[in-house]
Amino acid sequence: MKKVLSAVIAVTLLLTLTLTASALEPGEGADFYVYDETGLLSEATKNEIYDLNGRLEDQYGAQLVIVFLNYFGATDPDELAVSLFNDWGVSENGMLMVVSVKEQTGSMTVGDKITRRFTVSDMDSYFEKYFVDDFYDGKYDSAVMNMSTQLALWYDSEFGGSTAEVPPSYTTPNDPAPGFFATVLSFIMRNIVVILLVCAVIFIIFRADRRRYRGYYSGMGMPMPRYYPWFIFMPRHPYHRYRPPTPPRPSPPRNSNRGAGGFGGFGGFGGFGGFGPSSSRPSSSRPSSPRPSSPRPRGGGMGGRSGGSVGGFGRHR
Amino acid sequence: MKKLLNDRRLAAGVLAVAVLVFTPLGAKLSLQRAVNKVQRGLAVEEYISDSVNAARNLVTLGSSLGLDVETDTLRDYMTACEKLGDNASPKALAQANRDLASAFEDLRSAIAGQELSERDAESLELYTNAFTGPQAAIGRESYNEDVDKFMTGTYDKFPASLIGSLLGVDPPEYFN
Repeated sequence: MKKVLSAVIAVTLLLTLTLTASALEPGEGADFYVYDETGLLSEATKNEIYDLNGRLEDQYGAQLVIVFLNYFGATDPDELAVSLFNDWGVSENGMLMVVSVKEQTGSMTVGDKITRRFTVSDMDSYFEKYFVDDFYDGKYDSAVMNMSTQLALWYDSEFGGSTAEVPPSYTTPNDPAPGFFATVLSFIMRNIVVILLVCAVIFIIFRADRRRYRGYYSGMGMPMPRYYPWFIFMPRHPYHRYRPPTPPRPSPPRNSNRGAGGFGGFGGFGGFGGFGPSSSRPSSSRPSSPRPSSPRPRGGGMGGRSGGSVGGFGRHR
Repeated sequence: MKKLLNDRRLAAGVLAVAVLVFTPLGAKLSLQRAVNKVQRGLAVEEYISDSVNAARNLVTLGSSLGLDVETDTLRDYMTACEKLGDNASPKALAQANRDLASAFEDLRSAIAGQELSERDAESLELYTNAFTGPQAAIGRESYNEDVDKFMTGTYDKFPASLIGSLLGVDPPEYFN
C-alpha cells in the first residue's frame, strides 16, 4: 500500500515538474524584469526595476530579472533559477533572482560572463545583507529595491559606470558615520530627562547648603561649621574614631509587645543606569524566532547554458 | 527542633534525597523541552491549508462533471485535514496529508479521463499546480533531517538516552 502511495505522489510531482516549467512564461516589457505571481510588489517598485534595467542595459548590456513566486513547485529552487535564466534568454552578464514567498527561500544565478566576478559567496552575502531581513519581515518592496540597488552598485563598481540611484532610505554599505557633534546632540536629546534630573538634584543641594551657611552667619558669635560642598558623598569625620568594646546585648523579654518598634532606616540611593549606544538603532529588536542566523548554504557551480553559479538563502519555517 | 537542625547526618540525608529527586526531574524537563522544540520546528500547516484550498477547487470541478465517488472521498480527507489543530502530531499531519494527496490524485486522474472543455482543462492544470506547489514544499521540509540531527546529537547520547528511557521521554516524531 505504501509503495502504491509513494508511486502516486512521485507521479504527481513528476507531472508538475513539467507543468511548472511550462507555466512560467516571461512577461512583456516591464513584466520581463519583474515577474510577480504573488501580487505583493507595488507598481512603483516594478517601475523602479524597469528603469534600473534600462540604465543597466544601456551601459553594460546587463539585465536584472526578479521572479516572485508563491511556491517553487516541484522544481528545486536552484535548478529553477538556472532554467528560467536560460529559457527567458537573460543576457550573459545578467542576473536572475527567484524567490518563493510561501517557502521563504530564494535562489539566484548569474550569467557566464560574470560568474567569476560575482561568486556564490557574493550572492549569499548580498542576500544576507540586503534582502533577507526585509523579506522575512514582509517588506517585499523594500527588500527587492534594496537588493537591486546594491546589485546595480556592484555593476557600477565592476564596470566603472553609474546606474544606481540610491534612495536615501535604503541602506548602503558605506554609510558615513555620524560626526562628533551629531553624536553628542543625539546623546543629549535621548537623555534629556536624566540630564534635567541630575541638574535639579545639584541645584537643590547647593541651594540647601547656602541656606545653612546663611543661618550660621546670622547667629551671634557662633563658629561657622566646616563647609562640605559634597557633604552627602563624603564622610564627616574622615579620621579613625575610637569605639569602646560592645557590651553584651541583653536578651529581649519574652512576650514583649510593649513600646514601638525601631525605625528601619533609609535605603541607599540606586546607581545611575548606563548610557546606551550612540546609534539610533535598537540593539536587539528581533524576537528569538526559529530563524537561523546564517542562510542555508547552497551548492555552487551549477553549469547552465548561460546561468553559471547559483546562490540562495532560506530558513526553517 | 534545634537539635534536628544541628544534626549533620540528617542534613546530608535531606540533601542527598533532594539531589536524587530533583536532578532527574530537572533533566527530564530539559529533555522534554528539547524534544518539544524540535517538534515545533515542523511548519507545514500553511502548506496543508493551501493544498486543501486547491483540493476544494478540484472538488467543485469534479462535482460539475458528476464524479461523485472520487469527489466525496477527497472531501472527506479535506475535512480530516481541516480538523487537525495546531497541536497535531507530525505523524498525524503526515498521514492526513498523504491521504489528501492520494485522494486528490484519484480525482485528478478521473477528471483527466473525461472529455474536458478547454476551460475545464485549464482549470485542471491550474488546480493541479496549486496543489503540487505546497506538496513539493512539504517534500523540501528539513524537519526530518532536524529530527535525525537531534537523535544522533542528543537523544541517543548519554545521559539523554538513559533519562529518556527511564523517565519516559518519547523522542520527537518523524513526519512520515
